[in-house]
This record gives sequence, structure tokens and C-alpha cells, in this order.
Amino acid sequence: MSFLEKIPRLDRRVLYLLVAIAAVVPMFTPLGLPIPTSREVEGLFDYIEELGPGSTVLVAFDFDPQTVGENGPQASGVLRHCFERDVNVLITALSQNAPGMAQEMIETAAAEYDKVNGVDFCYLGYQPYPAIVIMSIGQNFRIPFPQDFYGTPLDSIPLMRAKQNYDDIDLVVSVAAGWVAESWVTYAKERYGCDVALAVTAVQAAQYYTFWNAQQIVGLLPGLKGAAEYQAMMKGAGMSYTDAPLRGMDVQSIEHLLIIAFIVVGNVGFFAERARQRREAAAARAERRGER
Amino acid sequence: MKWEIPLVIVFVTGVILALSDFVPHQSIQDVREFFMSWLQIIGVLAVGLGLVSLTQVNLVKVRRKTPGWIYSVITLFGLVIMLVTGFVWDYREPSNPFQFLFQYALLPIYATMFSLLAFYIASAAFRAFKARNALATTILVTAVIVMLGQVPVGAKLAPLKSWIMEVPNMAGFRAILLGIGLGGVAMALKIVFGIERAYMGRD
Repeated sequence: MSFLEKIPRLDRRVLYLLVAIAAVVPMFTPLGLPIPTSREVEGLFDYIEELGPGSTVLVAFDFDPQTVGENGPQASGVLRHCFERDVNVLITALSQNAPGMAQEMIETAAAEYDKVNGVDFCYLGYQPYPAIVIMSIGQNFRIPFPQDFYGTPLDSIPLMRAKQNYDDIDLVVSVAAGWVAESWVTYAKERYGCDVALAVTAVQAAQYYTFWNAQQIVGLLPGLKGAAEYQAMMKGAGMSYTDAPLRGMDVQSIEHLLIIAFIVVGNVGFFAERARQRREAAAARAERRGER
Repeated sequence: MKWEIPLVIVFVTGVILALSDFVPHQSIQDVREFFMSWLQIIGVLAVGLGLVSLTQVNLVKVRRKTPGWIYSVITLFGLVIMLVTGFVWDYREPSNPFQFLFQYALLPIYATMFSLLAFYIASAAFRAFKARNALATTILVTAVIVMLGQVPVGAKLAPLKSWIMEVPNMAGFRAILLGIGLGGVAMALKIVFGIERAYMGRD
């Protein structure tokens, strides 16, 4: 058996080791690859840029810790951009394990920009059944959230006193890893007419291009790439930014190249083995003819 | 009556909720709100039921020492420790044992589980992504273009990747979503009109 024919039998631990090396090395030696921006990410960035101070954006943390690698930088980027532009932010966390993560990200970003809870932002926290919560906000924030995350009644919070429903906010950004993103489009956008943007995992993004092309959403951040583009735009606009997603794109570039190399090598092995099988079958046929 | 009463409840509830999407009058919206709050209450009860079921299933495994029973012990230990810390300390405070466990145990565990996918995808790409015929080759070439167009190193392919995502991909997904939507409407109508009764434990 030749070397090429042995390829399909390569131990999977070798593949795992190569994937691990490809993930770790670019973290220590950044490649600094340029990040070109796409229309869907520019859509969200420009929308927030055009909002004046005092406008209100609702950022929904609709993801669990497993996708924090992709959704975390997205949420953090949008939050920071809003704070940078003095846009008021309301935050919900409609995924069971999101409240703790959201709290940490909000408090970190708020401290960085000297934003005051209840005045510049309001963290509403978690309520079960996202679709019902999203629908209820259409009537009044006080139905699903009588109090904020810290137990303060909404009417005692300066920022929330004049806020009743979607009519009082300019945009919803759902940072999601599941079907909740769709509920924001279905109810907040289509039923109550509030503009919606989505920040979703790369795997999910394929599904949400339908909403983007139908202009049902004003922007779409697909996976870590979306987060990196967003940070690159913040950097380009002279705002403070985090370079973690930019470095993450170095890792993703190398990983994608490695997977493509695996596909190529796997196919070389596949064709080599298929050629051997054909040769053996032809030899067997010739042998049978010789015997006759 | 055992079958008729649930059917009447489902019919009345279904019709009211469907109407509430088209009738903006406050009276029907109030009724809708009433039903919605019931849904949340039932959901919370389901969490309690899940908790009891999880405990029972794992206790039985531990008691019978079935293969892998040690994992049931770990599950029960995790359940008890999160419940106790959650009840004793305020989950909204930034630093307490509950938050510590969440930040430094649960969060990394979840992230690790998801990260492992990268290894499996790499292995699967090597073993299964083969150009066996014309269709498989088309999928393979498309996947390579999308993978490259998705990262800075393949920026030149980004416009082609965008076209793939926004035209053929979107057409496929739109068909799937329309199919799901129409299927959902058909199933809802069957349930509301009592044609589909599997939820009551019989066909």
C-alpha cells in the first residue's frame, strides 16, 4: 500500500493535534490580517451611528455560555458602541444562563464609559418564555418586567419612567444563539414595527440572510467575523475597541485553511484508494479470464 | 366528557389567540395576556417536574449501580450545589459562591463542550467530505468558497461567498421556512378543530 493509499487511515488524533496547534499558535503570534467589512455589518453600525444621544437601543442577550466565544464579542461591541454614542441601552437576558454573563459584560462596559445604572442603561434581566416576553413588551415593559434585574420597580427608574413599549425604543439588537432571534423579527418588527438587528452564530447566520435580504432587519452580525468587522469599524471611527475578535479572526483563518487542507488531502487519499480498488478488481477479472 | 372538555378548551383558546393577532381591540388583548401568563405558570411548573424527574432517574441509576452511575453522582452533586448556593446567596451579587461556580465552572464547561465541535468538524471534513459524484463535488466546492470567503485570508472570495449566502442559500432557506410555517398552520388548525388529538394520549 502506497503512502497516498494510507492517508484515509490517518489516526484522528493527528488531526486533533493539528487543529489544536492551529488554534494556539496565532494567539501568540498575531497575523494582523485586514478585516474587510460587509454590508450587513455596516447596516447595524451605521444605524447606531445615526442615532442621536438620548435614543434608546434594546440589546437582548439571547445566548448561553457555550456560544460566548462568538456572541460575547458581538454583545460587547454593540454595548460599547451605544455607550460611545451616548445612546441609552435597555438590556434583557431571555436565555436561562445569560443573566450572569450579561451582568458581567454590562457592568464592565458601564464602568469603562462611566454610565449610570437607571439613568444611561437599565438591565431588565431574565423572564421565561422569550416569545411571550417579546410580545408582552409590545404592550408594556411592565407586564414581563415589573422590576429590573436588581429588584427596582420600573417606575422608580428614571430611564424607564417614560418607556412604555416598542414605540419608545429605536432599535432592538438580538444577540442570539437560538430561535429567539426569529421571535424578535416576528413580533417586535412585524407586529409592532420596531427596527431589529441580529447578531447570531456563524452556523445560524445562513438562515437569517433571508431576513436581511427581505429588509426585515437593519443589520446582521454573522459569528465572530461579524464581531471582528464591528470592532474594525469602531477602530476606524476612532472609538475604543477590543482586539480579541480581531485576533480571533487570525485563528479562524488558519483553522479554515487547515480544514480545507484536510479536505484536499482526504480527497487525494480517497482517489488513490479508489484507483487501487479498480486496479485490484481489473486484476481479479483478468485472473478469472486466464483460468477459464 | 373526558374528551369533549379538553377539545372545547383547546378550540376556544386557539380561536381567541388566533383572533388576537388580527383584532387590536383591548378586550381581546386582555384575554390574550391572561392566557400568556398561564403559559408562563405552566412553564415554571414544567421546570419543577423536570427537576423531580432528573433527580429520580439519576437516583435510580446510583442505587442500581448501572454502568456510568458515577456520572449520575456528579449530576446530582452539581444540581444540589447550584440549588443550595442559588438559594443561600443572592445571584445578583457579583461575587459569591453561586457566581463563582457559574463563572468558573459552568461557563468554561459549556464553552469547552462547544469548542470540541471544531475538532469533530475537522475530522469529519477529512473523512466524509469526498468528491464522490457531481453533486458531492458541488457541495464541496461551495463549502470551500464559503469557508475561505468567511475569513480575512480569503477576502478576495468574499463577494462570491456573499452571493452564495444571499441567493442560492437564501432561496433554499426561504423554501424551508415557508414549508415549516405552512406545516405549523396546518397542524395548529388540526389541533384547534380536534382532528389531531395525540396530545390527549390517543390518535
